[in-house]
Formats: sequence, structure tokens, C-alpha cells
Amino acid sequence: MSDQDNETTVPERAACREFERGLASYLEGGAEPSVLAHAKQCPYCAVILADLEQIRFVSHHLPQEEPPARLWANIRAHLEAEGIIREPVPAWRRWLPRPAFFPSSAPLGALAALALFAATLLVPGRSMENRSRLNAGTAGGGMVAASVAPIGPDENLTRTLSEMEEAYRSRESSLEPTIKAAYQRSLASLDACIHECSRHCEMEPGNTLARQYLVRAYQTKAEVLASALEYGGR
Amino acid sequence: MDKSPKILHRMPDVRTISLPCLLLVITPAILLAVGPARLEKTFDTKPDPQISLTNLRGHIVIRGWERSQVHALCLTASPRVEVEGSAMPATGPAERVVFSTRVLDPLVRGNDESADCNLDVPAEASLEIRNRQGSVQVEHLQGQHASIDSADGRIVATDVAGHLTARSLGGDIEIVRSSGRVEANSITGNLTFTEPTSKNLRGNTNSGHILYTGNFESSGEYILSTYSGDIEVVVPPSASFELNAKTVKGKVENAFKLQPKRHAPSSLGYGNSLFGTHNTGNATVDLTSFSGHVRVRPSH
Repeated sequence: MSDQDNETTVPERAACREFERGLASYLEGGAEPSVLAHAKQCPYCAVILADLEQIRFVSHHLPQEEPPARLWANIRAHLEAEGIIREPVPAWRRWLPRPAFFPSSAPLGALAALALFAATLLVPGRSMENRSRLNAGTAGGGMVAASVAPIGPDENLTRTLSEMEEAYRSRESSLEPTIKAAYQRSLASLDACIHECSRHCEMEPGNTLARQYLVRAYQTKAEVLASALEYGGR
Repeated sequence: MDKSPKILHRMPDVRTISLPCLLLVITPAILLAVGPARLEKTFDTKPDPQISLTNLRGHIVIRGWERSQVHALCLTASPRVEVEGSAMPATGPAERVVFSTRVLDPLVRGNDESADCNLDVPAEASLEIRNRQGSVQVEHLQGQHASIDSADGRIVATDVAGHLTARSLGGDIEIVRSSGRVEANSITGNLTFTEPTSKNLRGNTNSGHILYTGNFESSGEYILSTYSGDIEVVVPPSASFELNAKTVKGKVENAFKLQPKRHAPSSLGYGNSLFGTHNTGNATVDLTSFSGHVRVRPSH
């Protein structure tokens, strides 16, 4: 990356910044001829554009996803707890086990925060890299790490995940030994992923693959903790 | 006089009579109390009912058959655990059949919670299975969707034609000859896809390995990802696909002759990546591992 940074000239960086400014509008269908023109000249920005267009193309062809039943169940539980809705229980639901809903709003909060985190982590990768490149060009490589925005989740998300983890730890002993072991293995695996990807993102802010893995690991960890809390020992 | 005591002595003591009688009465009762319980039930259904099953522990086998009926045979390890089955609506062919395991005694733990269930269901049925601990095996289903969740159990789905969702924290997931959309997710388990004809297949595990053997469908999209495991894809030499393989710390090994798009350490920081087309590139194949190896090779 440093070789590439050194090869990047000041006019190119200005053109890249111009490309960035027009990118969102172009992807939303706006007439931005400069975006395409620059992508033809700058191989780096061409890759960015190609990736984003692929994401756009694929996302247009994705079917409408049905949110997981757990999400609806949680929303319903909260609305019922607050007395906003009260529905008679259909006869068939008497046969189903009553789910142990989340004891707090932490899982929902974590998932919402994760969505924001994912958006902020994945989208500005280019601008963060630009900042790195600018710093590399002006103040030397030593300033790059200091100037780059923090890679990890924001404070709210960290706090929410940590609350979920605390809640899980306090109930861990009530889990069946084999289930407990499965959760422990899963969380250890995800923590290893988070740790390594965070380190990679700090070292290489432009490493989008590490970012994707980091976001996914956080999301999966929140889901795993939520499901552990849902089991409630039984 | 002399005999009387002898006779009396010969007469069985009340205690010696009552003990075997007591045992005769109690033993079956004890056996009944600790032995397994059984549920066998048949429901008439519509051709495409929704089947739900929630189980704590045990092995679940579900097979599609040609009849518009659900036949359930469940055995529980303890009579203090029961499996309930119910159909909706209660009269006429059921649109929905729900099975759930209930622990009647909160002191029941461990293997005593087990319920093994065999279900024969209409081939067009949709499934929603949650088995916390234990394996789930699903075969010959063409319903709209089949959703299988397990915390630590192995999931095997064979000849499933609908949208298949399989999730397990630590269990392996094996998908054989799927033809509908597939989403398989595990954290530490391995994923195996054998001869799928699905056009949309996604497999994700955090630290497990992924093995894909079979071919790719024209205009199909295949996304396989693992964080620390390896990915191995074995397809026929005639396979037509566009490959996008990436790894940060591992290696990409490819035995196909690809038309290269780009083959170099990427400017985005990937440790090793390979983009190329084989034959006419009919299918899109996206393989990523953070620290594992990615191998693509032809089958013999």
C-alpha cells in the first residue's frame, strides 16, 4: 500500500476526492460524467466503482428478506410489555412453548447499532484511505494510524454488546454443559475474528475484506448472545 | 396340638405373600414411571402444510412422502417429557401442524430431556424446525421453505427443493442435492455442499471448513465464506464460472485454466486474490477466507 501511496500524485488525489464527491450521486442515478471519466483513468477508483456497482446490482436482485421470527417476537414482546398492543392468543399458540424474550432491550439496541456501525465501517473505507494517503504524503507514515478514525464499534455498541455479554455470563452457569461449551466455542471463535480483523483494519484501513469480516463478526456475536439469552438456561 | 404349630409354621407368612404381590404391582408402575414415553399420531393435511417442531434434545428425522398426511412417531427418554402435536384447523385437512416438546418436571435435565422424532410429511410441506441439541435430518422435500435451527446439532438436508435455511452454532451442516435457494450458517461447524443444483447458494462459517462438490448452474450465484477455515471447491472440468476468490492470510490455489481478470495482490489489501473466468463464466462464484486457504480444482 505504501508503494501505491508514494506513487500517487497530488493532482490524482484531488481527482480522487472529486470522484468521491460525485460517487453517491452517480450511484443514485445522477448525471456525473466526471465519475466515469476518472474511473477510466484511475485504476484504484475503478475498483471502488466496480465493487459498488456490483453491490448495487446484486442488491437490486435480492429477494425481499423476511426478518427473522425472533425480531418480530421481540418487537411484539416490547409493545405488549408497554401495553401498546394486547392481542388474544390464538388457540394454536397454546401448543407452542412460550419463548423467553430478551430481558432487556439490549439485543434490539445492539442490532440497530450494528446496522449503523456496518454502514459507517464499510462506506467510508475509501475516505479513510484517502486520509491515510494524504497524511502519508504530507506528514509521513507515522501519522497515518493516528489520523485514521477508530476502527472498532462506537461506544454505544460496545456498551450494549458488553451488557449482553455480562447478562450472558451471569446466566452461563444455568446452561446445559454441552450447550454452554458450544456457546463458549462460538464466542471464542468470534472474539478471535474480531481481534484479528480489528488489528488488520488498524494496520490497513483500506482492507475491505477485513472490514467485512469485522462487521459480520460483531453482528454474529450479537445474534449469538441474543440466542443464548433467549434460551434462558432451558 | 403338636401339628398345629407345624401347620401354622408351614403356612406362608403374611409378609412373604405381600412382598411378591407388592413387587408385582409396584414394578410395572416403576417401569412405567421411568420408561420412555411414545407419541404416535397421524394428521390429515392439505398437500402443502406448514410443519413446526420445537425440541430440546434428541434426533429429528423428517421425510417427505406422497400422502397428504403427517405421521409422527416420537419417543421421549422420560415420561416427564412429552411431545405434543396439534393441527390447525382442528377439523378437516390441516394447514399447519405443530409439534413441541414440553418438560413437565423442571428437575428433568440432560439426556432425560431427549425426544427422538420421526416425521413423515407431505413432500410439498414447509418446515420450521428448532432442535436445540441433537441432529436434524431432512429428506425429499419440495415445499416453499425449510428452516432448520440447532445450537449444537448436525444438520443434514438431502433432496430439498425449496428455500433452505440451516443454522447451527457448532454443528456441521451437510446439504446434499439441494435445488432451491440455500443459506447455511454455522460458527464453528463445517459446511458441506454435495451436488447441488441450486442457483443461489450461500454458506458462511466462522472457523469451520467448507467443501463444495458438484457443478455450478448457469446464471447461478455461489457465495462461500469462512474466517479461519479452508474452502475447497471441486467441480467438473466443464464447469462454467466466473471466480472471485480472496484470502488475506491464506493462499488461493486454483487448478483451472482461467481467463484472468486480475491476479495479483490487490490494492485493497487482500493477501491473495484471484479473479478469472472459466469457459463462458455462466455462474458467479465468490469464495473468501480470512486466514484459511481457498482451493478450486476439477473433479476427476
